Amino acid sequence: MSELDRLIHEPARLTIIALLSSVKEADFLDLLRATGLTKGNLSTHLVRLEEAGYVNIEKTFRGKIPLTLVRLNSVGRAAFQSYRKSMKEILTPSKAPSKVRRVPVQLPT
Amino acid sequence: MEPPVDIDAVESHASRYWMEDGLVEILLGPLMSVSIGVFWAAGAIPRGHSTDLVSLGGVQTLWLAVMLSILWGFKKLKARVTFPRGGYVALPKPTKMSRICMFALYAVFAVIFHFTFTLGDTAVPVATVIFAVGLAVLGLQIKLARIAWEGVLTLGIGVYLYWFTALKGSQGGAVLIGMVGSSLAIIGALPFRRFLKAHPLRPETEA
Repeated sequence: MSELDRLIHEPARLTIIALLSSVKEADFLDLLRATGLTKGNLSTHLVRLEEAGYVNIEKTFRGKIPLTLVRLNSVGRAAFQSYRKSMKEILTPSKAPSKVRRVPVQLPT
Repeated sequence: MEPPVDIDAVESHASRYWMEDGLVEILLGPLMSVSIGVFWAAGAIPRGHSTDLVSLGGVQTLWLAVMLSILWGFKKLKARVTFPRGGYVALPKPTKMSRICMFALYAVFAVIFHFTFTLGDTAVPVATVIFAVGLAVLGLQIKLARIAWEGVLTLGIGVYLYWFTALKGSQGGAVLIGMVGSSLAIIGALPFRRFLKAHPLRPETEA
């Protein structure tokens, strides 16, 4: 059984990565709305993911409004795929035959 | 061990976000109205083997142009109204294969539409099934109940037109498309209003 990536397994970070995996890019405001996290919390998790090399964060402006664009890079996508595969392995019951021998039991009447 | 979050539900967020403000439905109203106009114009062209081919090609080209311009307007509206309020999400670029599939789907729909309007009595049921199934499947796929209910409403409109009115053929099909388009635009206006109220525009901050 493969090891779970603890960085991704944390619920808030898993939500962020799952959101980013289905889009090309998303801004901070959308992630804030979709995850329900506070600004500080989201910022901290994004920094963690950026330090791990999973996401790219680009700070820019739309007119005079600051715009933070977040993108899941190829390393992040591969890590997320690997996490999903590991999770599937854990959740799928083993197909190996059980070694426990079933013995018919006579119930007392 | 359970996954800490429902990944499949989270992954459908982006496609749901594109639909949840009701702009798609609002724009479907004018799109369908234009479609009716285009098909009625096509119906006015004299019948014949060569004119049929010309009208089929011409109508589809005009319809495609209208669809693309409405899509362009939709993207502009999204950028001006939705993204500054609810956040910006860019959907992944379609692959070459999905582009080919989309074009093939469009061609199939266009041919079905054209023949629906020339078939006669089957126009209303065929158009009803296409719209109702399309909306219901889309609603279930992106887990947006409103869209699935719009499919049920379309079915109701189709049943009403087919059994309780004398409208048949291209006339019935056109009225169906017009009614479905109008109802979608009206239904879409409600979530759009709710979205604008729930997400006021952020105050500008100096750079």
